[in-house]
Amino acid sequence: MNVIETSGLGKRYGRTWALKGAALAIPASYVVALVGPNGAGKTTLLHMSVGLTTPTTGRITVVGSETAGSPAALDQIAFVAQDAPLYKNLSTADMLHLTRNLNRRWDQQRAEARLKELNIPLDRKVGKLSGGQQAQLALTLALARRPRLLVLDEPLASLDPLARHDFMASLMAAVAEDGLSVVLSSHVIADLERVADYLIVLSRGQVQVAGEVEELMAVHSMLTGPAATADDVTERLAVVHARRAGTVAHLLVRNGPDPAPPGWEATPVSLEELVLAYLREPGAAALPGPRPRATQDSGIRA
Amino acid sequence: MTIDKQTDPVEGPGERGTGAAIAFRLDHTSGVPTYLQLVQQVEHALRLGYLGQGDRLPTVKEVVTSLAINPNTVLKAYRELEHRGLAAGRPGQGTFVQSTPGTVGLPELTALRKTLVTWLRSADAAGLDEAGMVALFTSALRDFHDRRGETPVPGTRDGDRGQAGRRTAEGAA
Amino acid sequence: MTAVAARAPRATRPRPVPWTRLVWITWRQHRVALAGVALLLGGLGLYLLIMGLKIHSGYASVTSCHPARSSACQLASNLFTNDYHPTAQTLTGFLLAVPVLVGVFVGAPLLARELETGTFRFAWTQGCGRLRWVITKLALLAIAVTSASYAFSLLFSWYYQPWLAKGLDGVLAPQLFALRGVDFAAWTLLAFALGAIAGVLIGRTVAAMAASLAAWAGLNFLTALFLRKHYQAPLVVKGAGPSNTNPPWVFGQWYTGPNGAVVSQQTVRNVAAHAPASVQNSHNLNAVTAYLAQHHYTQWWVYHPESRYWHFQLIEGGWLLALSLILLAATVWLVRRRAA
Repeated sequence: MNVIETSGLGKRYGRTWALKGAALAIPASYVVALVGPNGAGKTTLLHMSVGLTTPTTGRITVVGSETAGSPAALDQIAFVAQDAPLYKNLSTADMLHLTRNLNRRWDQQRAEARLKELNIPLDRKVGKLSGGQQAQLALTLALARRPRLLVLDEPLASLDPLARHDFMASLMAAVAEDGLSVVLSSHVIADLERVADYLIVLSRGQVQVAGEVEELMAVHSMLTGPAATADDVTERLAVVHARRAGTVAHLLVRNGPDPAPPGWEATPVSLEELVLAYLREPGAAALPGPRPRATQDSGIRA
Repeated sequence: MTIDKQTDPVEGPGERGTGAAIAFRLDHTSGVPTYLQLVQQVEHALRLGYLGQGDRLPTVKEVVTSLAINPNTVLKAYRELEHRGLAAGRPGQGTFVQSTPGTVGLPELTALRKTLVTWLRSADAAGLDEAGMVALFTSALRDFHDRRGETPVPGTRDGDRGQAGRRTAEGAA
Repeated sequence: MTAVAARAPRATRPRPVPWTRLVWITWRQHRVALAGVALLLGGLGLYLLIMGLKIHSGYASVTSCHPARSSACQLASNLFTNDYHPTAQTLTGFLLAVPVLVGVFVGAPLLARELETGTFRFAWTQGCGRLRWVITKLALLAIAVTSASYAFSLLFSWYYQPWLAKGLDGVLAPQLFALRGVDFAAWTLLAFALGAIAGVLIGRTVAAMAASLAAWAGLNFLTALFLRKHYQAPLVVKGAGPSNTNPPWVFGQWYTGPNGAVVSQQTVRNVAAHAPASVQNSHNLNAVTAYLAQHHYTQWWVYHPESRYWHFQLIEGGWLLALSLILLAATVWLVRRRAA
C-alpha cells in the first residue's frame, strides 16, 4: 500500500506554481523525510495530502486509494501543522477531550501515559506550556488517534536542541511500537538524517529525488581525484554535482564504477551531501522509473 | 576508531541484571553507517568481556528512545548480529547475547594487551607519534590478512566500507 | 483539471463522528462568548424585570383609580407616565443595539479566530471533517443566540406593555417594532450570520466584527427608514387623520390646495398666517385646521394601522430568516471550499 500517491500533482497560487508535476509513490511503514529549501513546496504537498488544499492539476490519493481529504482519509491520517497549532486557552485535559470528540478512534490511556512520562500537567492551559511541550502535546494528540499515517510539517523548526532530540526520540519510539508510517518535512537535513529511511527532495516546486535511503546511499558515491582528469571521468559517468578545489575534484556520481578509475578514490556519501548536491543542480533528478501498476520496480534512471 | 570509542557498558539503564547490559552511543562524524556502529559496539563489548552469554540487549524501543534513530536501523543491527551468530531473538522477550564459538578468552586478551603495551612503548621510544603508530599497525594488519587471503576485517575502515557497500549493492540489485 | 478518484463503497466508509460529541466542543470553545451574551441579556433582563414590576404595579393603581375622568385620577396618571415613560423610551434606543452585539460577538470569532490563529489546520484535519464541524457549530450557536434574544424580547414586551395600553406609543413605530414580536430575534440571527460569513471571508476577528457590525447597521437603518413602510400598500386618509384608537404609524403627511395639487408646508403656513387673529389665538386646537379646510386646503395622511403589526412582523421576520439562512449556507460553502 502506498501511503501517498500522486501523479502530475500541481498547485498554482495566482501566477506562481508552488508545486509542479509531482509524481510520487510513497510506500507504507517508512519514515519519510521531505526536504528542501523554504518555499520549495513542502507545505503545499503536505497540505494537499490532508485535504487542506486542493490540487490545481493532477491527483493525489492517500492510505491506499482514498481521496485526500475525504472522511475515510482523515480518519486514518493524523496531521500536525507547522508550529503545532493548538487552542491556547484550553487546558491539556480539555484538548484531549476535544480531540477525542473529533475522532472515531481514540486511545485516552496512551495519551495520558505519554503526557505523564513527558511531565506535561493535565490541568495547565496549553498557552502556558513551553514550545517543546506544546509540540509534544500535538504529537501525543496525533498518536492517540492511532493513525495509519502521521504527517508532520516542520515539527522541529521552533524547538531548541534538547526539545528536538526528545521529540524525535518520542516519535521514533511510537514508530517502533505501532509501526506507523511517518512523513515529516524539514529544511534542515541534519535533523532527519538518522531517522529517515525514505527521502524526497523538493526544490522550486519540483521533485528531484524520491527513493529509499538505503538504495540512494548504495547507488551514489563521491569520487575524489585529480582535477586534471576530472573532465575525462565526467564524460563517462552520471555526475550529479562536481566541485573543484585547487588540484582536487570531488564528483558526486550515480552508479559509479567499482573499482574507481585509477588515481581516483570512491567514498560513500552522507545524506546531507547527497541532498545538497541535488539542490545545487536544479536539473538533476534521481527518481524511480515508471512502474507497472501491480509490481514495484525500483530502477533508478539517470 | 575502535577501542577508544568504547563506552562503559555498565552505565546502561538499570544495573546489570535489571536492565539491558549495554547502552549505545553514536558518532555522527565517523562515516560509519549507524547500524554498523551498533553492531561494532556489541562486538567490542563481547570481545572485552563486558557482555556475556545470555545478557539482554536493549529493546528496539529503548535504543530508539535514547538515540532518536529509525527503529529499522536497530532491527537491521540486531539482524546482522544474529547473522554473525552473536545474538538471538526470543519472541516476546527480546534479543539476547549468544557468545560465538572461538571468542578469545579473557586471560588471552590480557596477555595480548600486555604485549601490545610493550610494543607501544618501544614505538614511542623510537620517536613514532600516535598517527604513525596507527599507520604502521594498519599497514601491517592489511599485509597480514592479504597474505592469509582472508576478507578484510570488520572494524577497520576499508573492511566496513567494503562490507557495507557490498551488502547494500546486493540489496539494491 | 483534477481527476475524480473512485469512492469507496458505502459499506466500508467509517461511521461518522456522532453529532452529540460536537455539542461539548461548541460549548467549550465558545463558552466565553456565550457567557458574555448571558451577562448582557441577563443584566438588562434583570433591570427590565425590576423596573417592569414597578411599572406594572404603578399602572395597576392608575387603572384602578375611580372615577377615571376625574382630575385627581388624571393627575395620578400623568405623574405615573412622567416617572417612568421617558426612561423607558430612552432605553429602547439602547436596546436596538443589543441584537448586533449579541450576534456579532458570538458569530464573528467563530471562524475568524480559527483562521487567524491557524487552529483550523488542526480542527479541519481531524476525523470529523470540516463540514460536520462547521454545520454543528453554526446551528447550535444560531439556535442559542436566537432563542435567548427571543426570550429577552418577550420580557421587554411585558415591560413596555403599560405604555402601549395607554396609547402612548405605536407598535409599528421604528424604535419599538424591532424590539418586540419575532423581529428582535430575527435581527439577532442576521447579526450572527453576518458575523460568521465575515469571519470566514476576512479571517481576522476584529476586522470581521467591525465589518459585520457595519453591514448590520446599514441594513437595519435602510429597513427602518425605507423598506418597512413598503411591506403593504399604505392607507391614505384625508382630514383629521387616522381614526384608529391605537397610534398608527404615520409616515407621511401633506396638504393639497384648492386645485387639488400638493402644496408645500411653506404655502400652508402663509395661508394660515392670513387667518384672522381670533382663529390663530383660539383655544380650539382644530381652529386653524378648520380655517384651512374652509379655504379648500386638505390635509392628507399616509399610514399603516397598528392592526398590520403581525403581518409586518412576519414579513420582516421572514426575509430576515431567509437572508440569514442564505448567509449561513454560504458560510458553510466557503468553509468547504477554503484552502489552507
